[in-house]
Amino acid sequence: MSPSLQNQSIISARNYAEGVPISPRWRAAQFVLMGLIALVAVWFAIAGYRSPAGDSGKFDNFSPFDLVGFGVLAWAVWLVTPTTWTVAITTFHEAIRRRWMGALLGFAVVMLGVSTFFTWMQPGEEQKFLRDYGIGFTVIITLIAAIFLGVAMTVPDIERRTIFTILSKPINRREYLFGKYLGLMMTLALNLLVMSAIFLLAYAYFVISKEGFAAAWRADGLGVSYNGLGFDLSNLAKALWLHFFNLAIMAAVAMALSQFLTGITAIIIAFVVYFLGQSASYWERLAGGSGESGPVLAPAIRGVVDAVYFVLPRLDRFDVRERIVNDLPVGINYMMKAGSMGLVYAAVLLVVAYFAFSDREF
Amino acid sequence: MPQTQEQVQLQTASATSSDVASSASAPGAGEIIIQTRDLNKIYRPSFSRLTKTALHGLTIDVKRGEIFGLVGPNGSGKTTTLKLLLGLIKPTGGSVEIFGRGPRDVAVKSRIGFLPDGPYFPDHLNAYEVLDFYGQLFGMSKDVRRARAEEVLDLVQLNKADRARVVRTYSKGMMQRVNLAQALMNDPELLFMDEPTTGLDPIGARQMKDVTLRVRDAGKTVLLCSHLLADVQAICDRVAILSEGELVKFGTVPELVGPSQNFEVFAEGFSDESLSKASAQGLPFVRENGHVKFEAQSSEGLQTVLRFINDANARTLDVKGYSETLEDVFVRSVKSDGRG
Repeated sequence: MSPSLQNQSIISARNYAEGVPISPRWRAAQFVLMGLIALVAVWFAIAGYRSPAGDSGKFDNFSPFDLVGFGVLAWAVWLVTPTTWTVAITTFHEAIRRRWMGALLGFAVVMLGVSTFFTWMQPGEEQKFLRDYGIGFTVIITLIAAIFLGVAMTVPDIERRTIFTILSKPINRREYLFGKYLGLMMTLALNLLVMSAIFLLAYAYFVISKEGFAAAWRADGLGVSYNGLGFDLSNLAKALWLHFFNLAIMAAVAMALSQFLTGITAIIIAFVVYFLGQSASYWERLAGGSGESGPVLAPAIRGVVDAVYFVLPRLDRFDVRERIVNDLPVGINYMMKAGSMGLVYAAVLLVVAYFAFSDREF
Repeated sequence: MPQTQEQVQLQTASATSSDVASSASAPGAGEIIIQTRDLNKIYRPSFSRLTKTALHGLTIDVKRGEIFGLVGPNGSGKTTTLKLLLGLIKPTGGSVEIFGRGPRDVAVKSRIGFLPDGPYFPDHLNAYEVLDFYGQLFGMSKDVRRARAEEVLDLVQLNKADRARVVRTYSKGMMQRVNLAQALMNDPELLFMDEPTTGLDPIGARQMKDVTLRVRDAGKTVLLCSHLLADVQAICDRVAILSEGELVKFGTVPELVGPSQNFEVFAEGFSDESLSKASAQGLPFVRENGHVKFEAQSSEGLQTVLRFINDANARTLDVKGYSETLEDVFVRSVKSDGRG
């Protein structure tokens, strides 16, 4: 037997009163990151203020409230302790090693890789088909991953009693939950990155194979790519980047629901929330929030419609497929406004999940 | 909530047993590190008016350097007590203090280890990686984590060849060794163990017992929940017996078992009429392999049985004396509590 039990040196140097310490280097790194976020926020504010109003009404105009998302991001960086980071990395490793995740990603990569073979389905508008197909496929696959993984973040730990071994260590429940969310977002980011890269490569290959390398980049209004390949790729990248905020919200929805409901119920409700959120503009019209005079509704129904409209995430804001397919630009203000809204919404959902989790008994 | 007479008596018993209890000579031995006062837990399922009292008025002190046993039948409140002590559930009433702080305090959790009953670990990790994850939660540096993982895996005697295999391929016994290793990763001052010998073969169970004693000998404190009363009797300094959420017995093992002797008397040659008389006189007996076995819980009882055999003109074959075990105390306590 080892004499290790007599040896107190491993932990005796630590100050028990403070729990696991956060080193000055860690704090310095956090300050650097927060500083970078502040710089980007300033850049966005200046660029957004100078840019002209877009073509989608008030949602394309700059507003100082759009900077709230940067505040949420900075706050999130501050909350990442070494313990949170440990949970996040372990969650990430665990998630990417799940067999069904690998199968899903493999399937998506293959389907996106061979997407150019399906363009015969829409002759004459092949590039439009490719954009629609690529973004749509990526959205569906990553959405399934976000909801299933989001529900599977805390539930298996509780069912398999792993949570006992974790929460009996010097970690508080906020660190655990936030670490799980962070790990989940890292997994979704990797998935989205891989799928986006394959899709954009397939798209570029298709355009170049049709027009030749030099002509593909020209914004001459001719050929397959109307505004040039550079414009198309940047527009597609913006659409995929916006979808990441969609995923951030849906992952938080799934995690929050799993605190109150059983796994399968949480999954079903999360999908319902997604489809309702996608049709938010319809609810907006019903509630009269779009400025148009909505239909005349009975007071009780009006109350329900208003409540649904108020609570629903505006997920349709992250879906710019219509613009992409029709060669319309996605403006910087639109990106900032949608991103900011996504971060605030995800943060609110996480706070709800935390309050439920902090009182939960195991 | 006011304490009952029984609780006050139990506390007195705990005070008198303190000197016997702490066999360790560690600094601070005898200092109270776990204190519960009138601890209650009532479960109320959602959308239901029905309530279930899982624990009622538990008042115990656990002292540094002892192995404290918590025993009781299923549903007696052992696991609820453990969860309350670890802050995994909140009490409905009363208080819990560990090292003078609340159980959810991160500083407290730095000083404790917990071996739960049958947990799973992230199944894509091997034993080193599992321990590395838990080591990181304690803020240990990479070098310390690596060294400590090797040390505790040696301590729990997990084969070196198995350590690099992912834990989903482990047997139940190997998993339990990893479970103990994670509980010891931070060299805890206070170790909670819930059914530590679950899934272990006799050799593994023996090793687990040895490790528990070594932990105590190193000046640590152990709180052990177990169904295996022989093990509890063999290694625990003090024991609390719970039944239906209440503390029914509490003290050192010698205090609980007591100096009394039990006897078994084997005899033959009884008529049916004389055995009817035995039943009428309240003498407990059973028929066994053609003879009759009487039980007596004291010398006076033994004399009564021998007199009865003589009066019935029967023949005494053998008289065996044996000491009471914790199991006897346990069964008697639970039965006398009206729950057996």
